[in-house]
Amino acid sequence: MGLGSPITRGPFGAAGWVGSIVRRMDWLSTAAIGLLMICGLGMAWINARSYGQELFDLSSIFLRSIIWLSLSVATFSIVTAINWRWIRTFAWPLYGANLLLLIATLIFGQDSGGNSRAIAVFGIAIQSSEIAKILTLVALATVLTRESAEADTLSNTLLGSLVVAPPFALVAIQPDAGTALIIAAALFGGLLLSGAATRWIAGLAGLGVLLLPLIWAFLIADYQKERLIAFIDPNADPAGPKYQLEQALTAIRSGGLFGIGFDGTGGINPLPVQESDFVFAALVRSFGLVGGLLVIGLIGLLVARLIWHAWESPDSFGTVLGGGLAAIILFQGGVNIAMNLGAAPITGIPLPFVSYGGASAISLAFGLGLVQSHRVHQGGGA
Amino acid sequence: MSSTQIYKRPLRYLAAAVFTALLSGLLSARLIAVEVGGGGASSRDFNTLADGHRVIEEVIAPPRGLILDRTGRILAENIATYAVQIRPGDLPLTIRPQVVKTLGEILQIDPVKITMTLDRATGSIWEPVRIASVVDERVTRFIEEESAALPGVEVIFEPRRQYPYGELISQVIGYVGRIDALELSALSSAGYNELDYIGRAGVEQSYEEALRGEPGVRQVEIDVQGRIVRELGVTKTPIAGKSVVLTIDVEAQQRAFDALAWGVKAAGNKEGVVTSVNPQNGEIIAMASLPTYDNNLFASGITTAQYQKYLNNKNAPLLNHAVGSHFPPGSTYKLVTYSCALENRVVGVDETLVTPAYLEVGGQKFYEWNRAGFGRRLTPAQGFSYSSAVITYQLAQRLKIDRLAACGRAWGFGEPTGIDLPTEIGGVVPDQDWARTTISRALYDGEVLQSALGQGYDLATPLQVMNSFAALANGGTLWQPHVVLELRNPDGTLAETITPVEKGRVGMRAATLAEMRRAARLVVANSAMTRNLGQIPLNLTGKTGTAEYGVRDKQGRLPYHNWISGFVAPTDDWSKTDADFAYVVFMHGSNTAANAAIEVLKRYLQLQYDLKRDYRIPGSMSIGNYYGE
Repeated sequence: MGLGSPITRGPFGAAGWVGSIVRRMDWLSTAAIGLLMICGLGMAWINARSYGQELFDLSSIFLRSIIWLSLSVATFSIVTAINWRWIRTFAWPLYGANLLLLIATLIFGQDSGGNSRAIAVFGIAIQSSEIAKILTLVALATVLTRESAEADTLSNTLLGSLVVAPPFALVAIQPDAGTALIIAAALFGGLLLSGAATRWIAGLAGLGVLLLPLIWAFLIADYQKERLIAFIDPNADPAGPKYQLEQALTAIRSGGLFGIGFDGTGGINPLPVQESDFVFAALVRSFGLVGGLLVIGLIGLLVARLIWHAWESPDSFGTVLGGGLAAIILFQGGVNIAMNLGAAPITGIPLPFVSYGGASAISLAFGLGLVQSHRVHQGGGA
Repeated sequence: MSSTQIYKRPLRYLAAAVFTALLSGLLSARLIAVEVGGGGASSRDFNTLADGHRVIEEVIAPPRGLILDRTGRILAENIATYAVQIRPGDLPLTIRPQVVKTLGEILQIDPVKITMTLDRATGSIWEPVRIASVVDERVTRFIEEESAALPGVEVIFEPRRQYPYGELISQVIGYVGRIDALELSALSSAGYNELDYIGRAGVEQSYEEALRGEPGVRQVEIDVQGRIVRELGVTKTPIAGKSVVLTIDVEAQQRAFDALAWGVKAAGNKEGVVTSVNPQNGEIIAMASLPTYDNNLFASGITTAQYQKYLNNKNAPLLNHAVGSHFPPGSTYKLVTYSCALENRVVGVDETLVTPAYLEVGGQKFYEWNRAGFGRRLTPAQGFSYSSAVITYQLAQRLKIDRLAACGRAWGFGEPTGIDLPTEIGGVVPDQDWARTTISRALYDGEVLQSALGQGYDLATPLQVMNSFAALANGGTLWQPHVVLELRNPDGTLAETITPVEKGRVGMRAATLAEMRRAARLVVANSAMTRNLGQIPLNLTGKTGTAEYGVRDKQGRLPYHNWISGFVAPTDDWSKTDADFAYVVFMHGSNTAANAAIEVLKRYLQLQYDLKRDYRIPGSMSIGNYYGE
């Protein structure tokens, strides 16, 4: 049965069905997701105003955010309602489609901010690497849950790595080192919490370190090197990445305890890419230290709940999914916020749900919805 | 479980949870550190840059504080003006004729002139060339709309000082001017730069520090040519200057100004001072000095011709004569001589003194001012009311110069009063020490008599004369006069109240001072001397003065100034010390048939106390030979 759910449909019919889903969901993580989305919507409103956009014009970040976040909420709800086992059956077709999309991006990719990360599908620019993160994780969870798997065997670790390697490589040569690292983090998180042997995980990490010079030489673009140098060298060109960081820090300082509110820019020039990379700085400027701490807290809470889900999960699918998603969100949130605070090099990594971006929000909603589905639809055969 | 065998390792979960908590904590700590301490390696280290670009700190000028009268009327404000300039480096030569033509049409300036201005400009092509100043805002908006068609053309905002009351109170307010090289070298450490304005006279100068506020700082990146490439951020927000509230009410100032303006017009002497003060606290009520000047001319960049005109005027319109000029105080100084004699008991209150036509000292005849004497013996107070010179000579002979000079200094003469206006001078009180160092000999006996009359070497500012009568009125306290009541923050809240400062005390017995107040009333009441002045329905006191100066004319006569100074008391009980209005009127080189200062005072009191009757006597202000005191 496709929707082989043990959830009862009667005696209250559809209402009872929804009710039992709602009761089984993890409301702490759902609340964290919702609040992060509200932050994203608020920032989209502020950013649209500070960029001088008509709020309800089709080109406005605000209207687009409403559309993307609505689609994300819908995705999250639908995936939560559907039995994860049924979705899992599409893991491989989706994985394959994603690889094709990544290859297409490399060939036909649009120049968005100096590299080929997005591809136009029906006129909408799609950041394939954002989708790749989640679909790769779903495939990884699926392969590690196969019948004959034993968590601590070399074959299991190798198989997981083999699944992750193609999307990792395709994203890395876009070049999008940041997202590639997120994919690697998902693998690491999944393997770690699902009980892979320490030696094989260490071996993978060692391999990564060995590959570093190669990555630096071939896979890191000049502008990315510039950013890394800027982070390390205090005398770097102040008009470059350093300037962006300086502006971000100035914005954060101007926020004070409660921020300047919804007052657009407060007379200050908009930050560079304040809708995505520097959204956190813009958020602190608007909502102050309190707003900043809230976002850090929400990210922390979401990650903690995902780790808890992995721990509670009776099967490997939930453990890998929870661990991988925890790693993805922790990595994205940590690096993005640290970068805004001058504590990490500048990379184009979005802050989950707060940064503007359709692909990122919808794919994360898909992944998190799958976790909820895994909670809700327990029991029955896998 | 049908699927994979799970190896959950609790330690790993614990580690993951701890790592998540630790990372959240570290990020929070870092956020707080940036917020509070401005932390991070990136807020400094801007010294060495690529491609010859440099980061420089630019000063952001704070808005200057306002100057208000005591009722809140604005006496000095900042208005927005716009200037149009062209940065030649941004204007391609090929399209320059077209741009210049368009700009000329918009600004209604001959394009040839613009071209010439551009071609004459020296310096870098990135240095802006001023095309027009004080451009109408609508015109600037038009230019900004057309900016695509006008490359290199820039509209800049220029705050400018405006003085709504202009010459009415310019002597007190002063003006601001662009800082010059000398001032800059002294003040650059205080954050001034070459484009700054600085108070140059009056309150604008003496309260410069409060009015200016605190400049802000922004970091800008400039390229090799000095062109600003981008703004890197404001590192210090400017703090607007404090507003200065004067003790003067513009309406009171208008009365003093109108009376004086009438006086100098009627007497034709061009120069004079009318000033009043509250004797109880040193608050200046009005301060008019003529000739005056329009400080708005300075604010909008005075032309050399206009400035030369002011400088060449021998009546020195740029100088506030109340504080910045000294003159022989004449018989107003008899306050010093008579009080000194009474205080030192060299004469009794009821003692009568002879009044011959002259007194012979060292073989030289020193005449009474009427050259006849008064034909009877007079008490000191009566002598004061007749302004008798001969009685004054007798008192001076009994006092000797050093005791007289000590009394002069006790009444505040010989050094600045300490008023909060710049360029105040101190006048001269001669004694033997002064004579030995200044004229390298002892004073002759005759010169001592001159000094007792407020002539000879005696010099005093109108403010000093007024302050001596203010001290008489209040029972012997020399307040530092002040024109500023309080300072206010930019939001209008009180920042600082200027508390009255006691400069010193006259140090004479209450009885001496009461007798001098009575004597000063006798002056006003003595119709033989001051005619109808005593009819004014006020408890008015005063002492007139006629002070000779300069060079004798063909008939051997000297030109003279007229003075009157005194106070108005609430009652005619002269033992009381509660008067709240002291004044001085000084008419420079008036040479009028009667004491011109008295006529000006009458007009001033009529306006100030809203008197119906006009006590001025027609013909008093005609040129004459008034040698009365």
